[in-house]
Amino acid sequence: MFKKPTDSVLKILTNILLIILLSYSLSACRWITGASTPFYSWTNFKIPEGTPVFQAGFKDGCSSILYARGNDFYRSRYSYRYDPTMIGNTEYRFGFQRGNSWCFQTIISPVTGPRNGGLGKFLFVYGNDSWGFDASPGSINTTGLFGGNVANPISTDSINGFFDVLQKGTDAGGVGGVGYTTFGANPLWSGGSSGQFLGWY
Amino acid sequence: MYKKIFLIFFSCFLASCSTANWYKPYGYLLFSQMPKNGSPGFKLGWIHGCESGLGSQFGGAFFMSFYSWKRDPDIASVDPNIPRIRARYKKELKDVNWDNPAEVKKNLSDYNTIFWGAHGFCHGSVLGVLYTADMEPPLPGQDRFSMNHGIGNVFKLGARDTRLGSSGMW
Repeated sequence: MFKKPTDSVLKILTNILLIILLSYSLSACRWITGASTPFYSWTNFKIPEGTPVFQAGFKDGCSSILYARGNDFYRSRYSYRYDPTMIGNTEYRFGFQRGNSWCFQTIISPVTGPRNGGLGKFLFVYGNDSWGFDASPGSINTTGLFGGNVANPISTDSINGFFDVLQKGTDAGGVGGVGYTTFGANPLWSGGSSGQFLGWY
Repeated sequence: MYKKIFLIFFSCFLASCSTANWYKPYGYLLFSQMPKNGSPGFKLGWIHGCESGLGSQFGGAFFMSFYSWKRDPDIASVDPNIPRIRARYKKELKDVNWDNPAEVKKNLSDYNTIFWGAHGFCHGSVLGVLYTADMEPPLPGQDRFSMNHGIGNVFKLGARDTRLGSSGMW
């Protein structure tokens, strides 16, 4: 009833299947799916949608911060940019600030962020060192979400340390968290005696 | 031969003289990036902002030895003292038409607007350079100088360049 497919037909079907699989793989590539992101490591940053003035500001702001906080690679590609003729244009300045802050968050990640080595630094682009706390489940279980080193210069080495300063002030030498009492309690943990957080459960 | 080398160096010297603070650490690289088509007030604000940023704690003791806070209180004032500003910056603001209030206002506004932008750019750049060399500026309460911050660290450029990988499987 059915004819056995010839070798040439099988070959064509195999090729079609390969093309389909290849298309799926390529379309899943991070560089394609992430094409709308403003910036991606190794590539030029992408400009988000907006008016030409906003986009010009965004581009200049991003370029400036990539030079400032990037490594030698980025410094060789980018530089400070600002159009003085647009200084009175709030839309340009808005775009500049947006580009500056967005690209800052991105550039500090590959440069000073994840220093664990290995391929993980590309998977976890926002790292953990740059944010000051290890958000991995194991660390949260053992040291708590606020057990990192955001407030490194502050005695307690944690987000808690920020509030520690509010609670205790600084000593005569400017060292935080060890001086006199500013508040009666650490405001981070205020609200009760059962370990509440900012007054919540 | 030596004459040619001298001429090359002398030409470079002359070319860099037009850049503010070209002779100070990181001076030429940063100040040469100042936009050229700004108003006199813009340029003065940019230079003052950048100097102030480099002289902040972000640069540590070394850069603080060469740069300092520069924002002009008279220009920053809500009621600027025009004659005093004019007398203080004869050279920098010589192209301002002081008889035109609108132009004077625009220049002072440009100064104040760009000041913090340049400050942020320059303090970020100097912090970035220190980080790149795996150094961190000392914070208040810490030692001003650490032996870990030896001059040899300049050869560590790229220490935090994770594209190359400093540990792990790279």
